[in-house]
This record gives sequence, structure tokens and C-alpha cells, in this order.
Amino acid sequence: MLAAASLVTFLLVHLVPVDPAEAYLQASKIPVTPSAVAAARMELGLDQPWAVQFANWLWRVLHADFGFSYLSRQPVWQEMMTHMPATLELTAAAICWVMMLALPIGIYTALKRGTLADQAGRLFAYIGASLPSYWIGYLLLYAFALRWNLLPVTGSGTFAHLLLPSFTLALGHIAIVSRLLRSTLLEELNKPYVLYARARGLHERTIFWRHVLRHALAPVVTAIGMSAGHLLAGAVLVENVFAWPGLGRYFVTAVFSRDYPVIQCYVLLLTAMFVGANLLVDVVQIMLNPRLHAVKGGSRR
Amino acid sequence: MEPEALLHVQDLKVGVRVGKRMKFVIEEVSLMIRRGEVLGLVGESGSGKSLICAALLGLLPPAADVQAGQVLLESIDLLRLPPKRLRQIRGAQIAFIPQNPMTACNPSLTIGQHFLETLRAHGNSGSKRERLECAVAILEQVGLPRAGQIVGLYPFELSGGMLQRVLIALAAVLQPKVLVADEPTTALDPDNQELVLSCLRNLCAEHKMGMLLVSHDLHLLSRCARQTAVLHTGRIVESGLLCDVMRDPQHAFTRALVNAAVSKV
Repeated sequence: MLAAASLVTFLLVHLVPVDPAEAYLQASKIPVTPSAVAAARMELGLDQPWAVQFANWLWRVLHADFGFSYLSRQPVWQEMMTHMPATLELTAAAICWVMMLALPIGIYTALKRGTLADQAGRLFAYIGASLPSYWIGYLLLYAFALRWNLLPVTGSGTFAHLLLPSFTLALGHIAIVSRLLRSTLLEELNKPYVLYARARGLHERTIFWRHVLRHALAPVVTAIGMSAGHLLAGAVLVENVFAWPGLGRYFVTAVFSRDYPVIQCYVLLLTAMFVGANLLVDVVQIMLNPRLHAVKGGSRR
Repeated sequence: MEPEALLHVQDLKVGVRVGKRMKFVIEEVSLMIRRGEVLGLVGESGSGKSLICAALLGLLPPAADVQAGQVLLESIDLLRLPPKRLRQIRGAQIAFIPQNPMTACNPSLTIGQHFLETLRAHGNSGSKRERLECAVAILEQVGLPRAGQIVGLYPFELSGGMLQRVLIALAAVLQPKVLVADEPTTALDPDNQELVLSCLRNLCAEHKMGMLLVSHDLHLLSRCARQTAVLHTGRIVESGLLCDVMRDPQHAFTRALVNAAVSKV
């Protein structure tokens, strides 16, 4: 998975029509002359065959060496790591929002289906899922930071700084997850085991919290895990709106100045995080579902 | 002397909303079950057997509604109880055995946990260990080997026949007065059918429970029930001692059922 991603990442940069050597010179503010380009090619190893370039690159990547940024001339990996905590903080806060809001909304709208509250939840979901985050981000900024002066405009550092960007990032996911939870809950409530639990005289709240919710959460856990990857990627837009000093903003700067090593590192890192998030989801699924871990052998007869 | 009625259904009428109209699917059904007696309710699919079971337990689907009648358990009318009281009675005094044991169980709870929560819901305040001992004792009573191990297993780790007997034990664990079994053997092969039927028969005789045994198969009922009632399109068309009904069926529909049952032997 990661190997394929690394190949694509490598090729991506070399397939665009701009010569990396020229990009390097421009980013380094060196006048682009034929001799300078030739020198840059030598320096960057661009004169070697592609396969050799790829092998060299891959070897260095495996040692966490992504080369030097054309722009700052600092090691890319080191710069990535200084920007990483801010993005992780933002993403983690967004996941908190999703869990804090989507779960109660999903449960409430499922229990009160057909009522005004359910309709309101549906409307909220449509709005939340369809509005682009950069637009919502500016609206929230205008309302909370400029108009009512409740929260800081941009920047990072305090908890108050975190609220708006993380909520902006989370909004679409809150909408999707709450609708998903509602529909899986309603589906579970119609299953025969619920009727049988009632026939045994169990309390309604036992049936709901212990039986139904537990089963309905399985697909929701998957969705939240998947959205962790999307949140990291979605942070690109939100970080630029809120001037959040994370990976996303670093990446956009790199794109504009064609800072190839940075772009490659970012894409590969994001792929790794996607894969990691999915792995985590599988582990949680196994913990939630006894059918996946109860294959202990010898117990069946 | 005939023992007194344990469960007495009088003139039960159930309607189902279809659009704005009310369609009556159960009309003037009366049934009587005495202590220690098995009443076989027989009818084709769609005749309303399962709806009668649901009505007895107060678990009709939202679209269905009881229009008239009484369901007397001893002298309490179950249809007029507030939901809270009815919940206390369900499982404790009138217990249900489902048609398909696999879908009825919660796949992520062990057999033991099913017992624990049922006992707990009906006010058994004993320790977890005492309640589990209760479960093991009743599992042994329905003839399941290695009951101590079964409580630690998940439903999908048992065969259908074993699981159905587990659910019979689960229904009997609180010593209810009446068992309602809705086609308990339909999902099983013939060997397991026999095991389940004898298990039900013994349990009723031993604990003096009444049982409503629902089936579409008169032949199967004849191995278990003494009394029978024949349900056809929501009405009881014939009832009485099963042997009399088998020997001399009055209604055309009953005759068809008897013929089907005889051809099976």
C-alpha cells in the first residue's frame, strides 16, 4: 500500500511539465540560466535514470530523509515534524467535536424520529454536509470573532484559538456521522433480537443502551476512523482560513513555490496516516464484535 | 375435576392499519389454557398465529392494535395493564420462545449474559455467581450436557437445536405460569424437533406450566398438545381435544390439515 503510494508520489512530481531543476532555482532565488540548470540537475541527481533516482529516493525515505526544502534549505522531515503537532491537535479536536455532537444528535433523532427535532437534525445534516469548509470557516470567523468578539480571529496557542478551526473542520463529518448513526439505530431497532429482548421483559433502556447502541456503533466507528484521514487532509483548507501553523499551510506554501521534496513528503505522510487510521478502525471493530475474536476453537460442538 | 383456567383469551379482536382504514386480522378469538396443559394453536401461514402471540405479550407491531377482548392471566387482564406492569409480567409470568433462535439472540452477548440480564430485569438481586448457578441449573434441567461451558459461549457457537433448548431454559428460568412458543421447531431438523418437543412437554408437566404451542403442522402438535384450536383467516373454526379433532374434523380447512398430517406419517 505504502510502496505503491510512494511510487505514485515519486512519479507525480516527475510527470508535471515543470522541470524540478528550474523549480529549485526559482525557489532558491537563483537566476535561471542554462548553466545553473545543468548544475542544479547534477546537485539534485536529476541526470541519472528514473529507476536509479527512485531507488535512491526510496532508500533515503526509509531512513526518514526526505531531502532539503528548496525554499528554506532545512531538512524536510524536520520541518514536517515541527508543523505536525499543530495539525494533529486540530484533527484530534475535530474528532472530539464529531463524537461530542454527532453521537447525541444521532441517538436523539433516532429516538424522536418523525418529530420536529428529527426534521431539524435532517436540515442540519444537509447544511453541514453541503457547505464547503472554507466558506463556513469565514462565516464563523465573522460571527464569533469579528461581530461578537467572543473568540480570537486567527493564530493558535490557546484553547479558545482551537475552537473555531476544529469545529469548521468537523462540521461536515458531524452531519454525516449523525445521519449514519440514526439510520443504523433505526435498522437495529427492527431486528428480531430487540423483540425477543422485550419479550423477556428487559427494560427499554437496557435494550437500547446495551443491545441496540452497541451494534449500531460498529459502522459509526468505521466512519469516524475513515474521517480521521479526511480530517487530516481537510485541514489544508481550514489551516489556511484560520492561519493555523500546521502541515496543511506548510504544504500549500510548498505547492505554490513548487517545493517538490516537501510535496512528496506530505503526500506520503498523509497516505501513511490514512493507512494507520484504517488499521486502528479494524482493531476497534474486533474489540466490539465477539464474532471476530471468539474463534477460540474446540468450543463448537 | 378440571383445573381452573390459567390463561383465558376472550373475544380478542386485532386490527391492522392499512392506509387510513382498519383491517381486522384477528376476530373474536377465544382460547383457554389450564395449568399443566398444552394448547396447540394450528393454522396456515398468514392466519394470524404470530399476531395472537404478540398480542398476548403486549408486543404487537406499531401498525397493529387490539380492538376488543380480554387476555386474562389468572384474573389480571394483560391488555389493560400499564406498560410498566406488563414489562414485569413479560418473561416472569408469561414467557416467549421464538421461532428462530439464531436471530432472536443478541450475537454479541454470551448465553450467560442473556440469563444474567433476564434475571436482573425481574428483580433477582443475587450476585452474578448465584444468578449464573441458576442458569446452569435450568440448562441441565432441559437436558443440555456441559451446561457450565454453555453459559460462556456466544449464540453463534451453538447449533440451532441446542440454542433453541437454551432459549427454552431461558424462558423457564423464572418459572413462568404460561409459555408461548411460536413455531419453536420450524427452524430445526427432525431430530432436533423431537428433542425440543420433549423438552417442552417435560417442562410443562414438571412445573405445571400452561403452554400455547403454535404450529402449522397438526402432526407435530399431536405429539405434544392435548387441546387444540384451529385458526383460519383470523378466526377459530374448530377447537377441542386434539384426538377428537383429528378423528372427526368438522371444518373443511381442518380436514385439509388432518389429511396433510396423516399423509406425513
